[in-house]
Amino acid sequence: MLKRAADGAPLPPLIEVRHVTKSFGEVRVLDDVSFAVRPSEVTCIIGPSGSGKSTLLRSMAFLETYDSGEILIEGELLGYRMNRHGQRVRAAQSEVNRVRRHVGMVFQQFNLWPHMTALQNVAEALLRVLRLPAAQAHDRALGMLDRVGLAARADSYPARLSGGQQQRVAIARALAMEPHIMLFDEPTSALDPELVGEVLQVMKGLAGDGMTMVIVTHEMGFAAQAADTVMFLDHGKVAAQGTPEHLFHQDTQPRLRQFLQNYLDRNAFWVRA
Amino acid sequence: MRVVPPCRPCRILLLAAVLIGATLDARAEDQLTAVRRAGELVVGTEMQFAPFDFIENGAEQGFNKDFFIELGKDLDLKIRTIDLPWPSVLPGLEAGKFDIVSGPLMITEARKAHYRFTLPIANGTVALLKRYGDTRINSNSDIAGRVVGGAKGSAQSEQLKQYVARLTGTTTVREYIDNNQAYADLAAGRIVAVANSLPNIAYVASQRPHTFAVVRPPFGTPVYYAYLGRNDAASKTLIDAIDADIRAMAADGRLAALQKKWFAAAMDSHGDPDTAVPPAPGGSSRATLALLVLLIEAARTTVFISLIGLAAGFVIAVAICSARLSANRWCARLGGLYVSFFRGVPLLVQLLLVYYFLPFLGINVPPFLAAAIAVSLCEAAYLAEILRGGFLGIAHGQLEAAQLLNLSKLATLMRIQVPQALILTLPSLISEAVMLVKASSLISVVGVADITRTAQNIAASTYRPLTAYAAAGLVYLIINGSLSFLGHAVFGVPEPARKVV
Amino acid sequence: MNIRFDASILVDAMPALERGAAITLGVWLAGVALGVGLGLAIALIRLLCGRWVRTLLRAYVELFRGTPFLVQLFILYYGGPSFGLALPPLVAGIVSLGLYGGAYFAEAFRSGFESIPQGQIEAAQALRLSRLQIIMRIEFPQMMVIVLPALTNLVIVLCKETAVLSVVTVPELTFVLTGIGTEKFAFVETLLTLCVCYWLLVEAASRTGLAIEQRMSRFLGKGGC
Repeated sequence: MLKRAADGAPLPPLIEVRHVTKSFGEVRVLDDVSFAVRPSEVTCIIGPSGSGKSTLLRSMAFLETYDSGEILIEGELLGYRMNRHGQRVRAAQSEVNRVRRHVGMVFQQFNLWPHMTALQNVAEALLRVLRLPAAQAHDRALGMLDRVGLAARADSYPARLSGGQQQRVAIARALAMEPHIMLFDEPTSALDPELVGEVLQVMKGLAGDGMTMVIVTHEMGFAAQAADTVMFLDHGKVAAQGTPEHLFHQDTQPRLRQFLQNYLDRNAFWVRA
Repeated sequence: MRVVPPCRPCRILLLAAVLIGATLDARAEDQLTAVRRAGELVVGTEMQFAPFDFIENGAEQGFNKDFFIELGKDLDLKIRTIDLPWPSVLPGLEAGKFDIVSGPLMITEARKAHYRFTLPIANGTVALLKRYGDTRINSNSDIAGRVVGGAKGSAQSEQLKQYVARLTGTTTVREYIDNNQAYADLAAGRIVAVANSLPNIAYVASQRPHTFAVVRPPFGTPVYYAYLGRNDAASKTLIDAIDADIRAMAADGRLAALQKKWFAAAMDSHGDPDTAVPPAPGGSSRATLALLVLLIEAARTTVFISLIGLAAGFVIAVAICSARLSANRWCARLGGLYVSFFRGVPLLVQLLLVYYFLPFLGINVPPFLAAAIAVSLCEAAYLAEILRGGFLGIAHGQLEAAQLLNLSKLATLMRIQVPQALILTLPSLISEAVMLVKASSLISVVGVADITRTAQNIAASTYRPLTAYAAAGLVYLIINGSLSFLGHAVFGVPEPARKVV
Repeated sequence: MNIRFDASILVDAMPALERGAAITLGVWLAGVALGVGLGLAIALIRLLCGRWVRTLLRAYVELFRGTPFLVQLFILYYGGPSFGLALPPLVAGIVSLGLYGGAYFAEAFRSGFESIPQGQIEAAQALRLSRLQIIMRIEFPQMMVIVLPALTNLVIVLCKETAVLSVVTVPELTFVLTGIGTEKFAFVETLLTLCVCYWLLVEAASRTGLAIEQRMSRFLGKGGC
């Protein structure tokens, strides 16, 4: 939940996206997108497929470039820098890594490394990037697995874990780096319906602990319950933005209503219209 | 008065007797008459024996050609020469495929027992060829303790080995697949001398007077070259006629002129050759364009044999594949054995097997056919495996449907399985074709005039091996590139990623 | 024409056969080592370096895969002296085998690298692992297991190609046995022995490869995709 400073004023945003635009050839995938994410704020991004949600999220981790605008992570420009002529050029990889060092990402396809156990997956970056000593890395990794409820499966290979368990390991892996921001790219879309719940549970726990999260999702229920802000993206534009209450019940934009109605028809079919 | 025909069985026996008699009669007809009647003399040889018989610019050249032209004029006969791999030549003579073997061959007691030699036409004493300006080798014994070379399995190599056995120290004798390879290594400095008959050595030295030189006197036991015919009564007349002509040519100086032209010295056929200054017989200037043209012509052989290998191999592969997939355990085992053998043994060994085995069995086929057989048999194994993958990829339900419709096994195979397997495995077939074109380069080892063999000939006659082989490589690249391009364009299939080789 | 089989020739030829077999094994293993090393180096460099280097390496691979091994061998052995490189037959044979194999191994490794899902690499990038770390810790271990069948196949191919070295007088099995065959007119015995020898070598390599594959596959499952 949103934190506030000691004097009650809102804290400066951790992430700022300012007028970001990205095109793939003729198609405008992101069209003048602007928003901010404050500490401990949980933002859910919803919208039809092809609306640019994933691209936006991936840009925030700089797994995608963006053509114009700025993405600031804790006040620092991500992915680019100004050269001495005042032009925007691509920043060096080390600089990019530095700016996004407090950003963690969880993918739709989990992307665990199949030749390593769950524990090894979680500990890998601790050992190679943070260069923690082995014992410390091991302990922290085990702690993270415990936090997502999988300490007992630390020595299992991903092939032996269910989809939900793999995704939880993936969350642990990102958490182990002690990020300030966690990005989730449709974290439950690849899961069998019965397994979705355990992952959402973990995510709710994170939100409760005060983690700043940006989540691209189709789980409207989760958005309604856990999000502080919901953003509706349509054709690369931020079509609507606000509290869950506002977006789901008050905003009257036709495209948003259409989108939500489609969702309702598919998922709550027993509700009589 | 009417002649009463004999009874039925008697008539048959009589007919048979007449026919057999006629055949025997025909064979009993002496060869000279037979040749005169045909109007031509058929000569068998291997055209890889400079300066007697070799191919330059696609045409036969050499001492033999010139000699037989003269012979033909004198005896009023056309001359037809057949080019065969050496192991097939003598069996071919015995089988009556031609009248005489040119060669020529060295006169040995063992051969005299089986065949009839003409009068000698050249001095074949074995001598050493050294590098020009190599001051370490001034006489034959100077090769002691060094490395020398000869052609594998040749009588000249035998003499060399016997000679070095009498020298002090260990002299290594390296045996090459043919003399040209040995000469190339001599020029490169890997060996200090090559042993071969004097005419050949002298010719090579005259071609490259600043690279090679002959070591005199020849170290071998005096021995002579002659042509060879069958040793039966029928052939006597022919050989006698040839001998008469040789005497005539010796008397009027034509023989000596030919010897001077090709061996750089007239060789008294019964004494030591005189030492004359060697002029270079025949020009050897050729444009690089002609080189490429030769290679492209040879490419036809390569492509042709690859196509045969693919087509014949495919037919055999269908049989092998169905054997492997059959319910009969022995069929499956046999099929598996075939595939395992032909994929486990190197193609070179398979080629040699077919090449040497067939004459053994009495089947004398030209080297091209022997190579084609070997290549087809080998390719069949690989194609069978690919087809098996294709067959297994056809949903089982289709076979069940065919069964229920009472389609015969053969019909099911030909109309349902093979067409679909073909489609499924088409990408692999393109890469198989590419592999086949490359593998076909090995047929050069058994003497087929493909791209590689032609490159070897060019390297031997132009003394520019790098250019020759690089050009050959280029031609192969073009062929393979075109095949891949064709695969992309016509079948729209990308190169299959899973099959690496 | 009757075919006789005189086993005594083989018995007499045993020492020569053993020497030939030793050379075949030596050349084969050396060629494989050289080829794998070269192939791996090429695959890694292609992952790390820029466009020009990649194009150059691609040209090398296409060249050596598009031309026959025999022609390559001739260029190295007979063409070598033209640019000052007169290698003895054994060295030329091993180098040629290594260069030829290297091109094929490079393609196998490249294919292996490509079959690793991009997502795993992105996850590693998001966790800020360096390019080298990603290659060494994530891609390489998986790739080596994926390419095992192709590697076994290539090792077998190289075994059979050692026979071609006989053409440039390397005293391996084919050279030795065909020499005895021509000398003693014993084609049947020697050629059949030759077949059996290669067959054994290839079977051994095939079984070994399969055993290694089975051991390694325990680790690699379908998780994470």
